[in-house]
Amino acid sequence: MLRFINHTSSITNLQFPRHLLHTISSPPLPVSNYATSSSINLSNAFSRCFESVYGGRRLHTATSARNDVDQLSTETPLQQELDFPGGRVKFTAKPVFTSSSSEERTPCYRVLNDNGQPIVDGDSVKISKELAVKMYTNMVTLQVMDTIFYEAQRQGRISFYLTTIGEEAINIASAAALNDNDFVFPQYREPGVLLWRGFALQDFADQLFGNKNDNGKGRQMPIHYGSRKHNYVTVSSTVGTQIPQAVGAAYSLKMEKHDACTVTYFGDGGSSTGDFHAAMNFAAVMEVPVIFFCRNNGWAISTPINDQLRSDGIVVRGKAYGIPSIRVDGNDALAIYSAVHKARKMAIEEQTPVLIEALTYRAGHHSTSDDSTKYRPVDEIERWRGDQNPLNRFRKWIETKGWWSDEAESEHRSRIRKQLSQAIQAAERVEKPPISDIFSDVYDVPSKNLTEQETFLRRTIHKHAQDYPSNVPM
Amino acid sequence: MKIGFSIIPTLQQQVTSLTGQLQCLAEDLAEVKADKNSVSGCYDGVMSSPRTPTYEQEEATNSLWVFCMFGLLAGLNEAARVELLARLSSQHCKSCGVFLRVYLRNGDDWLSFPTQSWAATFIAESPTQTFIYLFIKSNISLSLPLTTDICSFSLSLSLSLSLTTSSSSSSSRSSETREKMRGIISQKLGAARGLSSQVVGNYYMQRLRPAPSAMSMRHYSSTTKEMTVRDALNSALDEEMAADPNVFVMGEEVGEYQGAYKITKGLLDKYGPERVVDTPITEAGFAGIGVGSAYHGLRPVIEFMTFNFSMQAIDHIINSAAKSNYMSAGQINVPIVFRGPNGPAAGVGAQHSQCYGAWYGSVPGLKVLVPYSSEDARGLLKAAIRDPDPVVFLENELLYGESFPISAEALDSSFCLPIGKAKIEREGKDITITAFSKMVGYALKAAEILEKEGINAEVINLRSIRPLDRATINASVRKTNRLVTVEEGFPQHGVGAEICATVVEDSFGYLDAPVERIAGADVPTPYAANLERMAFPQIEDIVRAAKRACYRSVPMAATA
Repeated sequence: MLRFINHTSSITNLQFPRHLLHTISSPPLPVSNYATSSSINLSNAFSRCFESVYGGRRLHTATSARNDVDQLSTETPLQQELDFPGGRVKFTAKPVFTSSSSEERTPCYRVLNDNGQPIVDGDSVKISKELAVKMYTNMVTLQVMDTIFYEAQRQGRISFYLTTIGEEAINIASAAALNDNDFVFPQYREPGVLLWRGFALQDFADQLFGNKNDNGKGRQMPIHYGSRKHNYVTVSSTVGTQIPQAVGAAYSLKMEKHDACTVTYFGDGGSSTGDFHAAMNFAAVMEVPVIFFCRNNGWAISTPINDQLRSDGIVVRGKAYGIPSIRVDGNDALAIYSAVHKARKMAIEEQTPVLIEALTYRAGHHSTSDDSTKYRPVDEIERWRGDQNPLNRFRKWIETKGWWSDEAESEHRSRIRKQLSQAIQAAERVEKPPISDIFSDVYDVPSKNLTEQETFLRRTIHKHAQDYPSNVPM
Repeated sequence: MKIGFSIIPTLQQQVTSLTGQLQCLAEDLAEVKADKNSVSGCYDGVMSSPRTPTYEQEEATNSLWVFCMFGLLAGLNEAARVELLARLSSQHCKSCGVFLRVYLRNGDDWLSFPTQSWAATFIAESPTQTFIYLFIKSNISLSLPLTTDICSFSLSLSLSLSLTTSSSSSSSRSSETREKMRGIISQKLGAARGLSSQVVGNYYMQRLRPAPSAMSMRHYSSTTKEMTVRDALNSALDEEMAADPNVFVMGEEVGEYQGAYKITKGLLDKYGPERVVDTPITEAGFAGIGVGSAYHGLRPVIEFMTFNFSMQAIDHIINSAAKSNYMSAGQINVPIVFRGPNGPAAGVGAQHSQCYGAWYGSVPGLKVLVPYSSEDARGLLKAAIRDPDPVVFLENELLYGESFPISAEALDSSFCLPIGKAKIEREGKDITITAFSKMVGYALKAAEILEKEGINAEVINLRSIRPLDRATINASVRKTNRLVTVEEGFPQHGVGAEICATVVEDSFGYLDAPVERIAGADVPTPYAANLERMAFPQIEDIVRAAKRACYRSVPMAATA
């Protein structure tokens, strides 16, 4: 049931034809062949121990391809295959174009049905009561947090907010299946991963209010969380840049042989960026432990998925790049948990990228700057909020198991609500970041013109205090 | 808490590299005579040791640095372990002024000064759980700031360091020693950066690399050799890669092809494909991957085949690399170098001929370096690689093959130039000419011509566009009272415009003539050779501008 489509084949091991180079004017020099020199060179021999980019897999496929050919050639003397640098390719006598889409759409892996009951013969990772309850309570916390912070924005207490409503399972179940030392490159709709890793409600509130306790010194707009302690890279507003960066960090993990992977999240809209394609290709070629987690929620702000792409979602793109891929039900926490759990194992043990496409629905507006009822039917939103609600489904399952009750539910919700209102009040009371925070961290050590600017500003404020706002601590 | 580090995966390489570097370090400091008494005398003395008399006079404050590293021996095969130990145990006597102590730890058992046979027995008990500790100490004062010095040692040993917290406690002197070490190191780290010591990862290694500050404790003879800029860049890369296993090179054609301009020649053979990475053709891809790997502690050197192609990757350079340290409130620094040829080459048209100095120079968070000579190339590239911030390193294709005299000092592997400091290439009193990259050569030639006509020009090689050395420029203008700026980039919002602005702001009263800006023509670069020549500054343009500024009136004339 839980099967990744594995696309590793000899065709993916492409060497780059020399004629593609856009070298400008250097004279052609004899190019030393790495393969031949490596057998003599000691340091290269050492580096081979590190199963690197150009290591075993290519050699393996090359050899096996050759064996196949040997067998063929004994049967038929005619040339049946093209000996292409990227691997052998069979000839065909028919001018058949590959189809633009497969006959059937890639199926979607799920463990729980709409009623929260396990599917017969389902294959999933068993989870304990403790873990299941923790996952559920975190999903509820995330939902309550979104509701209350969204309200705070509507009341004008913060400038901006963005909810994860409808995608709570993706947030929490994927985080639960990862290790805390896995490096996360989020987009912006994954605060649940931070929540799971122990970022406190007060920490969230401090970031949103940009006060002096904010982990980011009040520099980024709301919801751009980041915490080195939690291995969660600061959210970047640019769409898609996190994807190749995750590949780079995964390369670092590979170099250091860490028992960890990187995970990057992005939406269906993000999958249209050049960065996505570059990242997928590089990850496949460099064979790095990275999980690409696409939250396909059907809408990129107001752009529906059919205007975004014409392939069978994002999952099929994995095949094009030679990356094992799976499509999961993004509202089924158990399916996501199992898929990510397995993807992580593959990524680390096989040093391979893995693509996960989770099908879900953005049940909230894109952000507080958006009113999605202007461009999509309200009943569509209601349907996903109701039938497909990931919390309801998971709750039914843990209730059937006897692990959860109405009392526990209301107790948890009211406790979180109380904590949140306290956190908001506290965050509002804390003073704003001091003036020095404007200038620090531009460089590791402030440059001269920065210190000059700061000195000048301080002197000016000191002289003309009445002309400057009083809420900037000196 | 314990101080630990995990040896980088390619341990066998590390053995070679480490011992080689220790040797270098020893030789490096060979001006101090080996004093075997002090070797034994300082065995216990982590905090105090006899000083070598030679350096007595030069000593300032910080006379002793101690550095400790340890790593797990798991993953190292038997032969490599023995080899490591054999080499290490022979090091401490050779070292002159720098002492190395090797300890092995297996649980709470410690073995100091292991001989090979002891070590073998000790390790054999539990090969995968034995740690090796290296304590490095020096009794030489480098008369440099504290932080820089401890950095130098970590640089020399180049093992990835991390600090991890644990409740491990062991008895005996070793434990005390370790505690002292920890105290010293965390104090220095704290003093240096004000960082929480709970941060895990090889984050500190980067922080510990030396700041590119004055490295002039030694005196060198002034014998000069010649070196091409290409070799200067190549050797700088090579040395920095040898010194720090986190440094790696990535780009199109950097490996098997040895670099489109052969700057990475020989590096693939030496460091293997995981540190000299040939990439698919997408600047946005490998720039992003470089940035991500820098987030996680590597020190990538990203080669753009030319900086024109960096336009594809500019989002990663500006929105990610330059801003992440600030946006993460100092949690994520980005020690990355983007390098490659910049500015007009010859006969390659509009899309291959423009200068990005002003573009990148306008972005806070970036440092932008523009080497001219071989000394610049070596010193600045080394500084860029060691720097904790993202650096855009703009080379010039037409200078690669040019040879420059180079001093023994600049050939030293520890050589490094300060970032943000201009160099006065030629002193003069009548007019200041600022230039960078290839234009420095033009300015120097113009100065020679002017000399014959009785004008004594001062030529400033900017070396760094951001930070810009405003002080040196202004000081020079206040002396000469006249300024000509030279650059190949477009005139509007150019480097010359910025220099002009800073001089007007700070030294307006000192100017005796309007500032002259010499820049590329305000058009996309034409291909035809005659037009191309017209589009960029020539030596005569500089001469004429200087004369105008000195009121030696010459008619405006065509340059061709």
